[in-house]
Amino acid sequence: MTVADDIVIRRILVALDTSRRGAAAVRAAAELAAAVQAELLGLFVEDINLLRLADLPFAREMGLHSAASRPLDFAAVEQALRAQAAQVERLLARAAERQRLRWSFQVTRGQVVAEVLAVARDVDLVVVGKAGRSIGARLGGAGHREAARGEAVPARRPLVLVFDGSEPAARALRLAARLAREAGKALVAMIAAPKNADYQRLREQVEAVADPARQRVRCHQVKAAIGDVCRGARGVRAELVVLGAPGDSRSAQELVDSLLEAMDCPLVLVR
Amino acid sequence: MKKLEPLAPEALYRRCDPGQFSFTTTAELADHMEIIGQDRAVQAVRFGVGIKREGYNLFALGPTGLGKHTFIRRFLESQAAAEPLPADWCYVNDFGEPHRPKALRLPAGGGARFREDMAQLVEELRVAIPAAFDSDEYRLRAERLDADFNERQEKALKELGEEASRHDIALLHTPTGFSFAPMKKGEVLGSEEYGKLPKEQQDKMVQLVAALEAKLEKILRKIPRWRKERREKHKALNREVGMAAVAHLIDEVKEAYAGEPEVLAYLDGVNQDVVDNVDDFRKSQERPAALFGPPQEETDSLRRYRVNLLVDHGNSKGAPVVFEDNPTYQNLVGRVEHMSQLGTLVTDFTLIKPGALHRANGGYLLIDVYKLLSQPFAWEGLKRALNSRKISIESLGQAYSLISTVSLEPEPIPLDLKVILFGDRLYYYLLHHYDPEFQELFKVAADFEEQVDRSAGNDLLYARLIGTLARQEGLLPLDREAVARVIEQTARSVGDAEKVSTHMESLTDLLREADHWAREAGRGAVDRHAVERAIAQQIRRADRVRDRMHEAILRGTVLIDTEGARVGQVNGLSVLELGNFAFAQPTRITATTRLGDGNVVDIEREVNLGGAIHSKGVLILSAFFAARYAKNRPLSLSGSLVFEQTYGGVEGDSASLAELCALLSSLSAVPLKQSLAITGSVNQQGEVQAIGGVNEKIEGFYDICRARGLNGGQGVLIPGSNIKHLMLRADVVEAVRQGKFQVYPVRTVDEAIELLTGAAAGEPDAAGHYPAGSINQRVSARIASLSEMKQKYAGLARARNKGKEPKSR
Repeated sequence: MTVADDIVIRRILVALDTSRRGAAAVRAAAELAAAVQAELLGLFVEDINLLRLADLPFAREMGLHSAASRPLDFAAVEQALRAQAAQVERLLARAAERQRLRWSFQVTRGQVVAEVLAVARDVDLVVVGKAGRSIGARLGGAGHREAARGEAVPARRPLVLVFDGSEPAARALRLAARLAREAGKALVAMIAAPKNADYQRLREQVEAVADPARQRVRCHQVKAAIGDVCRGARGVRAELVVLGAPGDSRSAQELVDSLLEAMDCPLVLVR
Repeated sequence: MKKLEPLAPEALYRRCDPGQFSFTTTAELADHMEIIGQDRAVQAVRFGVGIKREGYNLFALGPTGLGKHTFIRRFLESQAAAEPLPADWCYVNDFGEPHRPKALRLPAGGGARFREDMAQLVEELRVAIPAAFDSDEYRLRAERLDADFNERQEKALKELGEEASRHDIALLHTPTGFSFAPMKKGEVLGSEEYGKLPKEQQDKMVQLVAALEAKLEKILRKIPRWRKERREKHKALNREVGMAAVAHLIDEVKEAYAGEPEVLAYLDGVNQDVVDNVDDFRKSQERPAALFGPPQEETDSLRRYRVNLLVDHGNSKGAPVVFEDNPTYQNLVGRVEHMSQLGTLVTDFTLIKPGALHRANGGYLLIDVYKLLSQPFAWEGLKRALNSRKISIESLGQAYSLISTVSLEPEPIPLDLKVILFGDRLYYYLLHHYDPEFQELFKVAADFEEQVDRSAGNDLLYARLIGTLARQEGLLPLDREAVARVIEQTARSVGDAEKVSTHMESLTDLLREADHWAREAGRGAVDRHAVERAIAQQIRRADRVRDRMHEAILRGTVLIDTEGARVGQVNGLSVLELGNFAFAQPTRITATTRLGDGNVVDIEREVNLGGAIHSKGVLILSAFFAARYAKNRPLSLSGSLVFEQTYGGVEGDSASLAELCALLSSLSAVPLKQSLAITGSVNQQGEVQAIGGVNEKIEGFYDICRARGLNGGQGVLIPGSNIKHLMLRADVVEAVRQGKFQVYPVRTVDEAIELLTGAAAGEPDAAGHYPAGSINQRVSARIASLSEMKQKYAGLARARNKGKEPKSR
C-alpha cells in the first residue's frame, strides 16, 4: 500500500516504554499501520546503562516520589525491565488486535537510541514513544493532566512536520500531509532554513504537497535546527511529530536523542 | 262524660297550596343560590371568614347533606376572588446545608419565571464555562503554569546533572527512580573496570555519589511542594476564569430579582457554588446510557441548581379555595419522595411535593372532619401547622423510625390560611370536650339547621330552590303541583307539618327520581304524580323488613288484637328506623297487679332490655299512682308491665301512657278496646306529653287494621301536642275522611282511659271521692282494699312474732 506515489510502507517500528508517551505512540502507530495496512513491529530496549549501574557495588537508587535512597541490585533492575517489557507487549497486543494488524514484538538490550536505529534499518517508518532522559517529562505528566481535565477536543492538536528539503524529509512531508488530511487535523510545518530565501523555497515545496486551499497548513521558519523544533512542537501541543530520518546513523542518533529529551509526544521517523 | 272528638281529616295533613304559586313550571323561576333558613350559620360563616385573627377557623356542623359544603364553597369563592393573590413558593438547594432545602417566596407567577430563568442560566453556563476554558487565554495560562513547574524541576535536576557530569557522573532513570552512575566515554562504568580502579578513587567516587544523592534528595523533597503550588495556581486560575464566565450571566438574573433579597442571596450562593464546581459544567455532555435505573436527564450535579416550584399561582385568580378530599397526613403537609437508585432510596429538594396546606396557603382549606380524624396523624399534623403557623414537611416514616434512609428537613414555610372543617355535630362536641387545642383553633362554629319554618314566603323560596336544583342537575322543570308535593314531602321527612327540611341531598335525590319517573312516563315536566311515584318507590325499595313484621302480625305469629276488649292489655306503638326508613308497628303491652309494696315492675328493665328513659317512664307511673290514689296511706300495689313478643331492646317513654292505661284497666278490671292503639308519654300529674314518630305510628296501626279490614271503630290516640306534627299518608287521611279510622288527640290520662274503656274516668269531689262506677273510683277502691289487706297481713305477722318472742330470748 502506498501513502503517496513513491512511499511504500510495509513495516512500522514502534519503540516503546511504559510512559504515557509510549501509550500514545502505540495508538498512533497502530492507527498508521491500519491506514496503510502495514505490519507493526514493537521494540523494547533494556537499557544497558541501567544494568551496568546496577552491577556496581555502591549503586543506589533514589525513589521518584518517595525521595528515599535504597540499594540497587542487578536482579531487581533486570526484573523491573522484564516487567516493563511485558507491560509494553500487552499494550501493543491490545492496540494491534483492535486494528486487526499483523504484529510482532522483540526485546533487545543495549544503548537505547542505537538499538532503535539499528532495528529501524529494516523498516519504512519508525514511531518513537519513549521518555527521553529528561526527568521533567516524567514528572510533568500529572500536572498536565490536571490542566487538561475536561478538555473537549484532542482533535484540535495538530500534526507537526519537521522539514529541511532532504529526501527523507520530502517523504515525511507526503506522509504527514496525508495523515493530517485524513484525520482532519491542522498540519504545522517547521521549516528548517536559516535563510529567508531558503524558507520561501521550502515553503513552496510544502504547500505544493499540502495545499493550503485543501487543508489547514501553517508554516514556521526554524533557524537553529533542533531546539527550536522542540519548542515549537510543544508550543502548538503537537499530537505527533513527523520527520525524515537523517541518512547517517550518528546524526540520526543525536537528533532522536535530543528530540526525545525535549518533547512529550510520539515521534514518527520516515526513512 | 264529654265525648272526645277525633281529628278532622284537614288536621292530619297540612297541604301546600299550589294556588299560592304564580308560575306554571319552575323553569320560569329565577335561580335561588342562597341557602334557605340558615341565618345563624350564614352569619357565623361571614363572621368567621371576615375576622382575620389567629384561631378563628371555622367548624361547619350539622348532618351531611344539608349543603354546608356547597354553600361555604360558593361563599368563599366569591369572597376569595376579591382577595389578593398569595405568593408562590419554591424550594431550592441550600449550598451550605444540602439536607435543609431553602424556601423562597416570590410574587404570584414569579415562581414559574424564576424556575425558567434558572434552567436558562444553567443552560447558558453549560455553554459559557466550557467556552471560557477552551479559550486560548485559559489554555496558554494553564500551559504556562505547567511549563513553569517543569522548568523549575528540570532546572534543578539539570543543574544537579551538570554538577555530576563535571565529575564524570551521570544522572540516570531507573524504572522506579533516579540513580547516579560513573561514566566513561558516554557509557556507564562496568563493574570490572570499577574493580580495577585504585581504592582511593573508588572511595572518592562513592563519596561523590553520596554527596550528589543528598542534593538530589533535597530537590525531590521540594517537588511535592512545587506540585502543590502548581495545583493551587491551577485552582486559582480555574476560579478566576470560572468567575469571569459566571458573574455576568448571574448578574443578568439578579437584575430581574432586584426586589427579592432572598432570591439575591440564593443567587450569590449559586454564583459561589458554580465557581467552586466549574468542572461539573466542563464534563462532556455525552454520557453512556445508564445500565440500571431511569435514564438520567442531566448530570446529577446540575440538579442542585433546579428550582422546585411548590406553589404556583401564576394562573390563579384571587385567594385559593382548596377542598382536600383525602386528608392524609402527607396530603395535608406535603411529603418528600424518594427515588430508587441502584437499589437505594435517595432524595433531594426537587422531590419535595406540596400538600393541601401549601396549595391553600393565603386562602381557605376545606376538610371533612370525619375523613380527617380517620387518617392517622392527620389531625395532629393540621393542629401543629395551625399552632405554629408554619408548614414543616416531616416524614412520618422518619419520625417513627420506620424507614431509615437519607431524608430532608425542608425549611418551614409560613402559614396563613383559614381552615373550614365540616362534620356532624357529634364530632364538634366530642372534639370540644376531649381536645383542649380544638377550641383554641376553631373558635367559630357555624351550626346548620336541618329544618326551617313553613310559610308562604319560604314556600316560594323553596320553589325557586327546587327550580335551581333541577336546572343544575339537568332535570325536567317541576310544575306547581309537583313543587307543592315536594314541599309536603320534605315536611313529612322532618316529621313536622310546620317545617320543611333543609336537607339538600335527600331533596335532590327526590327530584332526580321524580325526573326519572316523569321521563319514563313521557312528560315534559315533573308533575305531582311523578313525585308521588318517586316517594312510593323510595319506600318500596326500603320496606322489606316492615312487610315481614306486619306479615308476622297478620299471620298471627305476633299477637295483636284489633277488635274486642281485654283487661290489662293495650296496643302500644313502636317505631323502628332502618337506614333512613322509619316505620312503626303495634306492640301488645300487658299489665298485671297484685298486693305488694308500691312498685311497678318493668320486666323489660329486669332483663336489661329496657333503656333508662323507658325505666324513668315506668317509675313516673308509680309516682302517679301514689299521688292520685294513695295520698294518705301506703301504696300497697305491685304491678308488672311487659312488652309482649319483643326480642330486642325497648327505649323511650312514648309507651308510658299505654302502660298506665293497662295498669288502670288491670286495677279497675274494666277491659280496654283493642281497636285502638295509643302512644304518648305521661307525667306524674297524668298529663299526656308529646312523642316522636307520630306519623309512622299512626300509619303502622292503620296498615294492620286496613289489612284485616277497617271496621270504623279503629283509631289511634296521640298526644294533643303532636297534632302539629301530623303529615299523614294520603290513604290514611282518606280513611279518616270516610270515617273508617280515627285519630284522637288526648291531653290527660283520663281522656285516654275514657276513650279506651268507654266508661267515665270520674272527677273527684271536694272530699276527694270519685263518682261511683267511674274508672278512678274502681281503681281507688282496689288500691284501698290492697292497702287494708296489707295492714291485715302486717297485724297477723306482728301477732305471730309476739308469740315467738319469749322462746327466742
